[in-house]
Amino acid sequence: MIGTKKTKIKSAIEYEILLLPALIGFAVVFMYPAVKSLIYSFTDYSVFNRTISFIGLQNFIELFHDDRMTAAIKNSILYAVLFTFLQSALAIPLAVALDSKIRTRNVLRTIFYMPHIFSALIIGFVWSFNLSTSAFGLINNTLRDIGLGFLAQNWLGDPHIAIYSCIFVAVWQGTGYAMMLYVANLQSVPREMYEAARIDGASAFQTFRYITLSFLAPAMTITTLTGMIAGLKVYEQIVALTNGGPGYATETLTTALMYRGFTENRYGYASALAVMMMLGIMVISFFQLRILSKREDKLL
Amino acid sequence: MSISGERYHTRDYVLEISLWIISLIILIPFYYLAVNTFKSPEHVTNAPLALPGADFSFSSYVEAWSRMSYPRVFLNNLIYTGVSVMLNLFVSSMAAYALVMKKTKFHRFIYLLFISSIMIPFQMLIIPLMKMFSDFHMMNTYQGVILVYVFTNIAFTTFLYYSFVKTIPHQLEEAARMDGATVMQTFWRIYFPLLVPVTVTAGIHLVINFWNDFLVQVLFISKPEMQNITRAVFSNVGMFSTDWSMLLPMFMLSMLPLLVFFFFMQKYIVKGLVAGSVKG
Repeated sequence: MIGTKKTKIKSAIEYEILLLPALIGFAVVFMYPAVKSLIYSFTDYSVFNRTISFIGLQNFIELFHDDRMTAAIKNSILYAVLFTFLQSALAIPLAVALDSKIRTRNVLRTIFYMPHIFSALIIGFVWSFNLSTSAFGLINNTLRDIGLGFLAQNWLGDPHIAIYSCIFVAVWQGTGYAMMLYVANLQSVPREMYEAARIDGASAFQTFRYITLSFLAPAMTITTLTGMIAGLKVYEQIVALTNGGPGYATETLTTALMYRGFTENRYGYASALAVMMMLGIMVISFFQLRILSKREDKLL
Repeated sequence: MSISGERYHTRDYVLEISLWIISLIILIPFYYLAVNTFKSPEHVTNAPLALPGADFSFSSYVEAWSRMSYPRVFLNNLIYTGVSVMLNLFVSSMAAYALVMKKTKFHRFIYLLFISSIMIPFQMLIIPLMKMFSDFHMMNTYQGVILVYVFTNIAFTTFLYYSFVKTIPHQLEEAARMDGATVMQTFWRIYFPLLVPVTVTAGIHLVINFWNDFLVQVLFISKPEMQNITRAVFSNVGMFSTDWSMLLPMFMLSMLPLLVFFFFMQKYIVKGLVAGSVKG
């Protein structure tokens, strides 16, 4: 037996040594700043204030009376919801189509997935070239070539359209990713289910509605949750496409945070926005997981 | 829907052709980007969709290559990404092992803390980290950025490893310890080799994340010689905002390494996707 007291203590310490690097790093680089941000959010800490004093909830109240911030909150929610919805609405049919026996399905899957591996900043720049109103703007040119010139728009410069253009680019980049998740999920659907449905005389739509969609519940949970969170956090893509403009038309939570935090150096105020953002993400994750996992339980 | 037969019906051809037409939505922008990098600036403006004719040249690539000091920023990317991925996997695999093996209340608490921290957005850390970094002279350093990469993703990879270690029968550890192996030996010689699949999955996920990073770079790196590729492209867009014939090759140069990585690792990327999707 190895059970002498000395070796037992030694091995107990060894386990802690394995854990220690992660714990220390996490405490210093993650937990400490997170707690610090929470504290800052109740202060007037800024580059102009040498002495930091607590001001209670004043930052949070001001958030809702600040045009840039209210625009950012509104845009981020719109962006997250619409992006998440469109991503799955397009990815599910695509996944079902690419789950069939067509010969080139692997090449097609790769093509649809590819945009997702690239930086959102670079994809944003590429699309700001494509959406440009100049002579080389791909979208406007194509519309003119196929006789739909009247649809040509100032995609990124028109305050009513700009946010939708940004959402479009996100959907263009992110649909293939969701499609891959759905494809992986579809492989778990037992083929006999389709056979049985066919024998029972179910229509193609009924088969899709009652078998395919039910079995896709787990992938849907993951896709919509990651979609909502990524949507609320969006930054690089906006920087590349519009940088928040025109006006506040495409201002998002993170662009607003960067502006108040590092252009105006109002650290306490920007921290309050970060706290709001965290609370939003927590609430959404909580409810989404509850609703969607309930749905999974009911269906499976 | 025929299940056994591999026969192609008319509707399969129709489906396949429709999917290829839809795929043009993805392919045309890439074609458009690529084709315009080989043309003269006037040709880009006048006939953007056309193939390069007599003006075909690599000159804009040569120019972009030197303007963004590509070899330098590429090397920076390799350093940031390579070191961070290795450190992250090293630290998180050890932590996950300890958290699975030790079942005290303290370890349970740490595990729950790690999991719930996945919901805390990086935006929560930005302002205090900036202050810490300027206080400790960590701005514009490799180690600063690497620390942030490693430890803002540690909870997620630990979680991946944790779920995997848990599936390995506990007897393996007991047997090894019985034979007189220390905890370290048991982990490194017996467990770590078994963790290769999850290491590949987590590794690929981190490589793509760190390679593309912009937010951490824009916060902590301002010196051109310290920037990664994405950050360098950003600075150049600021400088040549109207000269697309200069910028398009830069976009291509920034995408190429990932494209190569993608084609070699494709099988694993897709496999890891499902596991990696736990995080936002």
